[in-house]
Amino acid sequence: MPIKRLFVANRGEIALRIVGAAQALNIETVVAVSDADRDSAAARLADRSIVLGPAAAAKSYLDPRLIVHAAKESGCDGLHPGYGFLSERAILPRLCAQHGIAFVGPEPDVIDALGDKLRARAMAGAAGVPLVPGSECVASAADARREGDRIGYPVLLKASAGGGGRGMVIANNGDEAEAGFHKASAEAVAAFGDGTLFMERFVPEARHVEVQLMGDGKGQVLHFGERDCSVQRRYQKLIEEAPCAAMPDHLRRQLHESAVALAASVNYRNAGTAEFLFDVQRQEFYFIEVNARIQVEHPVSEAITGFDLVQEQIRIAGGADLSVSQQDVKISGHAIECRINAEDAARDFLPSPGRITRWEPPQGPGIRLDSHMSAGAMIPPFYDSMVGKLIVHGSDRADAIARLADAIDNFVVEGVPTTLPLHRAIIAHPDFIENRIHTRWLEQVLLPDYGKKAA
Amino acid sequence: MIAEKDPVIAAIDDARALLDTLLTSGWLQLHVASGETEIFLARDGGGTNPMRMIAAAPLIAAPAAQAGPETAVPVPHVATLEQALAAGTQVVAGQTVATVRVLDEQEDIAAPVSGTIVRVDAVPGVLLEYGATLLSIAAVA
Amino acid sequence: MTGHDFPDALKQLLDEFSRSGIRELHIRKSDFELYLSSDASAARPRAAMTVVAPVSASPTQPAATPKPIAAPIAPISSLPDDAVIINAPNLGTFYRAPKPGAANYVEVGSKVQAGDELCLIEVMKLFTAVRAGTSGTVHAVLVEDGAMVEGGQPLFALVRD
Repeated sequence: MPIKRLFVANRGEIALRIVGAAQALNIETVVAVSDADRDSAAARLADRSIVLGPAAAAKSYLDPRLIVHAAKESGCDGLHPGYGFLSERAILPRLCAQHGIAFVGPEPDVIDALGDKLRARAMAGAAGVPLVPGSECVASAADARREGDRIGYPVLLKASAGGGGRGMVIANNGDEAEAGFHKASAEAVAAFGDGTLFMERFVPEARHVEVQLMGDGKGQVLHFGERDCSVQRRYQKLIEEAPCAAMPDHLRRQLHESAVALAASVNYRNAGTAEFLFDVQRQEFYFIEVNARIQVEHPVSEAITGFDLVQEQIRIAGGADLSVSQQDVKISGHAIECRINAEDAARDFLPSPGRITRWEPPQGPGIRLDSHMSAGAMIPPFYDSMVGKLIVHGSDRADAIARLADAIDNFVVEGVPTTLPLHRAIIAHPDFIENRIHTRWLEQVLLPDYGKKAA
Repeated sequence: MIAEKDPVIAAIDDARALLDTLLTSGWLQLHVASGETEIFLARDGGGTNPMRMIAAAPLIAAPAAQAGPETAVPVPHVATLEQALAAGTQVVAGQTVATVRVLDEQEDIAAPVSGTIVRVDAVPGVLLEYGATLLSIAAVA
Repeated sequence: MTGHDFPDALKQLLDEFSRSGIRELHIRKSDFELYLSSDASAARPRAAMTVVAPVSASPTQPAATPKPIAAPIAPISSLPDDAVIINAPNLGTFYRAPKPGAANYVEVGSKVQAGDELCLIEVMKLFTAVRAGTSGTVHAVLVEDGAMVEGGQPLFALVRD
């Protein structure tokens, strides 16, 4: 049954995005807010807003019982979780199901399975998706050398009980694999009381690529092309592009097929993203994980396909079939998104809440801004620092970069520091222009110099 | 072209003039309502702000006569009122004065002060937002 | 609200309100609503615009948060002369324990070494550990756990051994 009144269990730009998508479908909206977000842009645009609790997320946006209670008592028959917060916690769709509310996302059991890295990896393997070449448990230094020779160097020795980098050693050859075995094993015993190790291939300069998926839960799964999200700082994406210009077409086809096969194998429903590591030197890709939600960077896929993913999410949650077929999904041009964070790059990216005093975004063809900000808006200190996403669409990558440079140059923000100047520096860098970046490029190449100039 | 004064600035100017009046008069409070404009000012010890009472509790028909300092008992998070003790009931601090519900779970709300319940502000069965007033207690003088 | 008159008028009103010492001032004009209160415990009404005094009237004042900044538990003036004050490095939420339910890093009377962690300040999911600049004994904890603090706000008083 199509959703008639949608509850938005999120905040910030994505809450506004979801309200807009619902309104385009003539669906009423109720937005959940915390005490700090009473006057948010999404709350103003929606038909109704409901204050869940105090500013602290744990007592508002992260309490599934408060959210489902508010949704049910306000007469909502659908709930969109956005991204972050509770979007990938199976408890939310389970409570929704108990109370007759359609959840805009996958089945809770699928969320649980994909959220468990080992199960997700096993599912990917079973669906024929390439995994990072690796070993079972290695029992001795000789084993480590043999496995290292088989996998191909450099390799990573990892504690199976591990985490946080402890018990982790990189080996570039057989001798280092043997020595690394002793070191990593000793560290693992000390840290976790368990010296069991396994090995996997280490890709020093990898790209992060991901495939946008949409399933109807009835066996049909489509992809909307891939994105390249290799500009990262501390595993946080800063710039996302679509398509991945560094990937040749034959590999791109395999990537899409792998992602669709994995989603189809669990009869995936609604939007999801399969993330991969792309080893450019070897021209291979390996599965990382599936994110069972809409992602921050979905607009670049929308830009190159001309398709509204959030509207499709809402339709599918209301029981509709996919509104297009795979051959209707045509990729056109190149899109780039940069995440505008209220952070001070000169102070090691310290988040900087406060009041926006001037907010004059650029306008023009091929420019899209997803943001809940305006002049006078307050950025509260309780949530993440993203204040918007600037998306440009051009005929090719060079055109998109030129448009983005213009757009940033014409974007006036005052009141709080943002990452816009950093984005301007990134897209002016020869490595970015020539597309020679990888996931550690920003931290290894650009930021050391950028810090000096800013200081 | 005649520059019409911005109505908001006019209201702020009115408030500044009233602030002067309050300070020179020795009055404790001042409440002016005229057309679309409403202004309230109070010193320490002045009465409750009627503009805020209306904002916080739109469901009350008419505010009851004020016996003494009132304590509003707010709902701690979004919830639905199940039941509350009736107006006129004497309560002691810590005593359960209302029960609210989130999904199928009930939660007791304790009186923050001792006194008499002067008003049940919330309507049972209606969704209450965080901070909404459940009931008001007039403290023991 | 156009032109440059509005911020000026508002600034004058805020200045006058701050100087007057009165408890509250409330304006409603069509869609515009302004509520000023010197009582930090006053619950916020649903309002288009809310300012909790005392505030700086400057519109560029960063981080005027809806939640009042925590008042110190103990007045700084009552501390011993040789106390070393540990200040918050930036605005954020003050946490005394590394995670919910865990033991606090320090209590009053705890001996600390220079470099020991005393608390966490969290702003927008970024946690910053605050460390003791000197060894000594924790004499006072000046802020309640979970409170919002401003950059530079005193958090702990230490007494050198």
